[in-house]
Amino acid sequence: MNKFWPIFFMFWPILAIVSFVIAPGMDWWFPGPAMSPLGEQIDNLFYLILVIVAVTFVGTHVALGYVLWRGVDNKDQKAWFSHGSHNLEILWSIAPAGILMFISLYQLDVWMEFRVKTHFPEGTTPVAEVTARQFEWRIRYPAPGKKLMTTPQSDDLYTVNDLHVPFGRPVSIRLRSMDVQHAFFLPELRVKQDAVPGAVIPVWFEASKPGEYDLTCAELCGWGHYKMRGRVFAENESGFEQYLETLQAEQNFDGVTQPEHTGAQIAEYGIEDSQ
Amino acid sequence: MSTLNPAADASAHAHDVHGHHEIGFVSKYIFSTDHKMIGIQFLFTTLLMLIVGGSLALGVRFQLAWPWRAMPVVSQVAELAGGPTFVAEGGQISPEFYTMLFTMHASVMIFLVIIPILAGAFGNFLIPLMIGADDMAFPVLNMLSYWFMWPAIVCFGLSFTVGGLNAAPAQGWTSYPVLSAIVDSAPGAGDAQTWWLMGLTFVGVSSMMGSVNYMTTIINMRAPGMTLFRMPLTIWSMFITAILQAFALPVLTAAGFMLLTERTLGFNFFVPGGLIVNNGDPTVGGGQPLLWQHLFWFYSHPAVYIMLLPAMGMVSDMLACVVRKPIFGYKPMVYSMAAIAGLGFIVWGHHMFTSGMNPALGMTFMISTMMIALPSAVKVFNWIGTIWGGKVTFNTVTLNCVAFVSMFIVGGLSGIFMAAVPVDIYFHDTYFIVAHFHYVLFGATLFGCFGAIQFWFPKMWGRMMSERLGRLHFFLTFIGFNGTFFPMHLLGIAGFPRRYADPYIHPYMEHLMPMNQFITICAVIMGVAQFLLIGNFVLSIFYGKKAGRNPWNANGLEWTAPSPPGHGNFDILPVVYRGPYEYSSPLVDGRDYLMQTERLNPAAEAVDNPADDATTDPGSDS
Amino acid sequence: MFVSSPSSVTESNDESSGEDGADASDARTSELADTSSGEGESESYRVASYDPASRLLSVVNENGVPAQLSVAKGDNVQILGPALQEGRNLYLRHCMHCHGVSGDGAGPTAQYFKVKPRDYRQGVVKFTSTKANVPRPSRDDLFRIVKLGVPGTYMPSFMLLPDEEVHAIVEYVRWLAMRGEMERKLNAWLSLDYSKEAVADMEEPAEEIESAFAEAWADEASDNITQFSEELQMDWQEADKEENVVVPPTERVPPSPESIERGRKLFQGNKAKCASCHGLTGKGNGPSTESFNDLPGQPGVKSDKAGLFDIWGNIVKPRNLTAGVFRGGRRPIDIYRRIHSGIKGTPMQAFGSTLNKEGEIWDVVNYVLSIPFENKQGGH
Repeated sequence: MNKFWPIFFMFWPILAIVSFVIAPGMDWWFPGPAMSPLGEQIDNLFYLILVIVAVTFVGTHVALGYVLWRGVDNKDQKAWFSHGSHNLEILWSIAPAGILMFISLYQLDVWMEFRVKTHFPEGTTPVAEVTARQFEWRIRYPAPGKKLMTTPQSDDLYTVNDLHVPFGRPVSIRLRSMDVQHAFFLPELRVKQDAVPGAVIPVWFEASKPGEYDLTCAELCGWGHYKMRGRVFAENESGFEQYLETLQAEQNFDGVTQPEHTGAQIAEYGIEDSQ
Repeated sequence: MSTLNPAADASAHAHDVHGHHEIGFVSKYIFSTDHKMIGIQFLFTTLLMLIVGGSLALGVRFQLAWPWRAMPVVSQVAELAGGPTFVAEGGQISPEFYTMLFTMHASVMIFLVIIPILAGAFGNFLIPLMIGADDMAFPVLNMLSYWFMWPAIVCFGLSFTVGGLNAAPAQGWTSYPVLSAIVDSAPGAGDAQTWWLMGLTFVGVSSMMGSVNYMTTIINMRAPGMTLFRMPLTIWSMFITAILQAFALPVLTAAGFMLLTERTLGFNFFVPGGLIVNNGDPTVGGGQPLLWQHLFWFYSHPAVYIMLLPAMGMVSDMLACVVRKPIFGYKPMVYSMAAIAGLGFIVWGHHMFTSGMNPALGMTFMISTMMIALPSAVKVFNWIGTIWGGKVTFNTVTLNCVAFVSMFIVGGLSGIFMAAVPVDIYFHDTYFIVAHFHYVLFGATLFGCFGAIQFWFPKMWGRMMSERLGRLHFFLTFIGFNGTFFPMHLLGIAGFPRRYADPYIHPYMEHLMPMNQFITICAVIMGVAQFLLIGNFVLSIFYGKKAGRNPWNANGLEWTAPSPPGHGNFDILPVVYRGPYEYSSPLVDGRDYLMQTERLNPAAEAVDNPADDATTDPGSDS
Repeated sequence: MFVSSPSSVTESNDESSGEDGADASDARTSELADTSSGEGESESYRVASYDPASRLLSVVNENGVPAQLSVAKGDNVQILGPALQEGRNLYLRHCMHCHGVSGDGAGPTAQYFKVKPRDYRQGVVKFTSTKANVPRPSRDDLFRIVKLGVPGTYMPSFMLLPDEEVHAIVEYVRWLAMRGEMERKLNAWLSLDYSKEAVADMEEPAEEIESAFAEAWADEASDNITQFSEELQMDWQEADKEENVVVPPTERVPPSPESIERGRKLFQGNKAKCASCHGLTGKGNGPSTESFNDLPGQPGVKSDKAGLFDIWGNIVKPRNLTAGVFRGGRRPIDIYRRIHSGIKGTPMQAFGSTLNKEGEIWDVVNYVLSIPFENKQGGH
């Protein structure tokens, strides 16, 4: 009976490990594999840390379990009278220090690539301006064939919550906020950047495959924080251009000359085209 | 001589060894200047607030598990109150009520539970007893530090109710502007937020009075022979915490004032121009929202250690006692606490990796954050080393201490993911963070507190707490805690964001609802289990087994005082001859403890005992 | 029960388990639970007719053949529109916090908004494609508003909700609007003789008033309810008719500087008087925003606040056109329709008959669309 508690304390780490092992199979894991080259690097770093952490977790808990197990068993009259070990202290200071230093230095490249402008991949072009507001994503594209300007132009194209981008090459957006702080979060692409009021922040990402990716807000922005559901729709270059043209046609619709599109038709446009 | 106002002159008590004071009810139990009473007042208040904060958390959990379903109890109460107060129409809560729930849960738990239970309750109760002083250096200041909690509680309570019951602050406990700076930006950004800020200021004032007092007391009022490196780790941790608090808190207070003036006097620190909030007129001004984040986290990151270090110290003391072994690596423990505190000042930026601050800062903060894991690791290894070769008896104290170590390992390790900037890009503001800080603040700190309540209870009341109830409470809390918070790691990996009232409108999270329901059930178990603690606590005050002066056979000075100690604490002023961890010392036979005040062989010990120079007449000096 | 009748007799509209079901003894109601509601052995029928006087409801099956069903006392009878139940669920999840359970625009969250959510109960929606004399929105209009949101207000875009779900929400919103209108009509009718003030003035004892009321109700209710529902049905069907959509007679005049200049003159001139509300430069600060106007629904009663009122009693600001945010949409046709038929329920009137020369509205449209860029083009 006196072994109950050591077993109890060993039982839960086992459960923890088991739950992590079965998690991917139970779909309690990342929302799909990373869909961008940067995301893959982030995932690799995650797995690297996961391995290091898992080893440490198991190691410390085995040690904890062992000392508890021996502790309840201790038949000596008195406990071991020891004030510690200088060598051990040195050892267990330097070893983790090395590991932690390695982890942090090893991560720097990915961070620079993601955030430092001069390290952005070559050929990253801004495709749209995304303005977060309570509680939607307002999107501004340049007219087809034109470049995105920092100020609105009369021929700009507008849409909401539905960001189309070409896949297979790095693209960037100008991220702004119209009111409070928001965050532009693409879980499948592992991209997150806060939209700070008063600032324009360039964010780049690259969708490696065509498809729909969720876009959510990840910084508390008010009562409707959860409502900010958007998506990034990655399609091929011609599909993207065609999308912009459709958007342009829709936006210039004068009720006479072209067939009327509803917003819904626009949202669904080009799905077959890109897959 | 000191019967009129026994607290006015702390040094007077040394003469009054038997504590025969004629103290009125009010000055004994309410406006008491006795550190023990103040500590107990803090303890009661924080336990009360623990229930409040816990109930708010259950509200959050209910919405996440069964979104938009009528909330049990709350709906009924609202009906009794005769109107749609907490519940919105149709029996649902409203989304802004959800944001208020988590905002106030965090505010109550951090500012009214964890910080005061550690520094206020245990700091007050233990510091003079453990260093052999008869009271705090500034007893009246001490009393004020407790009574400044109440304006804070009132302000937080008012912030809940001004503007109808539906307008508590809803900006998250971090209160990021612009949301918190512009009155129209959100429900609860009006008067509620102003009251909340004032509450925060009062908490700050209370903490600041406490920390000034603790520093002075620890530096000036140690008993003869109590050198710095003979202090128990609890005292070290309280000392370091007090320093942290004293240096970090002014920044938050200043930031809070800046926000207050911005909201009420039209100053402009945080709101940039040209914003259109709530479809109103564009804002004017040139503020910078990131400024608040820097100022806020400059306090609030050290605050995490303020919320953790004292628990580390107390666990070290308790652990050494229950395994009957000296603490493993006393000095490394002290240095690592100091290192945590020092590094704690230069890691605040890791809360802001995705905030758009200069990316170069991201790199520096990553390295400093990784480095702060190091002293934490050293402490863990030392705790395991302490248990190593000890004689372990599993009582409630042991259970809670081991749980502390185990949970702290998880909380520390999960922190590494977030310290790594690229990985944090993904994990920022997901449930992984929620899991992480609950493992640290609940898993570590609160388990430490539960152990500490059990451990020092006999000193507070002269009676033991029920061991059986204590273990049951531990068992249920531990199961409920891990069931609640461990799956949150997985939620975080699945990209489940924080602070979503209805995450399931996003297709990629739809399948996570069953897991959230499981979490909620575990949270309810954990919540219900806390009534065992409260029950055990209250019942044991009256019906607990009588405890002597030293029920745990521990070494510290507090165990030489009567249980409960009278006014002035000690019958005779203690003189300290050794450190507090001489368990199982071969110097004594027949018992495995050796109290700090015991003088064994004057000749043998004279060399390293400065206490010998001090007077042996305990009554003449303090 | 009567609240369910207005929309049409071919699709029934009450999702609530009506009181009639509870006392099935006196009403020969039939079980009408729709199969799509997911209830075990329920069957689906269509309402053929409902006579509120006798409370007689007759049903037909899917093929239109009259059906006979016997219901036992205590049976639960639900009258559902297929989309309505779904629409209601979605409405409660996505819309209710602001627009309220009954569609009164006063949900719990609404109290914090500067721009108030729409109260559907007058059946009026601001941004429609319908002509000025058609007060109701079409289904397409509502669909578009839900999908795209209303920029410049708290109405967010529900772009990513599947079309079926948006359609279901639109149906439910229409139903709420009809219900609200029906209630208002009934209320108005009963208030003629039995308003609070009128009852207070009566000298007869309460019982007599009650019996007189019951008599009046028995005599007239049936006719009135029928009449109201027919009106409603007509109004709402009218909005969905193709011929009631505003279609410009000509293509858009190309936005040449000349056209813009013509538009500017119309905007600032006396013919359309746009500037009286929107201001000379389109900032929405025209003189009428500072005048004292009649309170909505109370002609002759001046408000003590300066400003223009909409029919819901809110002070509305004329749009600041320099901001480039157009609530009803930014396509030329959207602006055209705003000018042509006005914004329903607001002081923005229909200019379709005023600006009746060919291309005049287009000139104004071109000018309005150019306002946000005026300074950059070295204009005014």
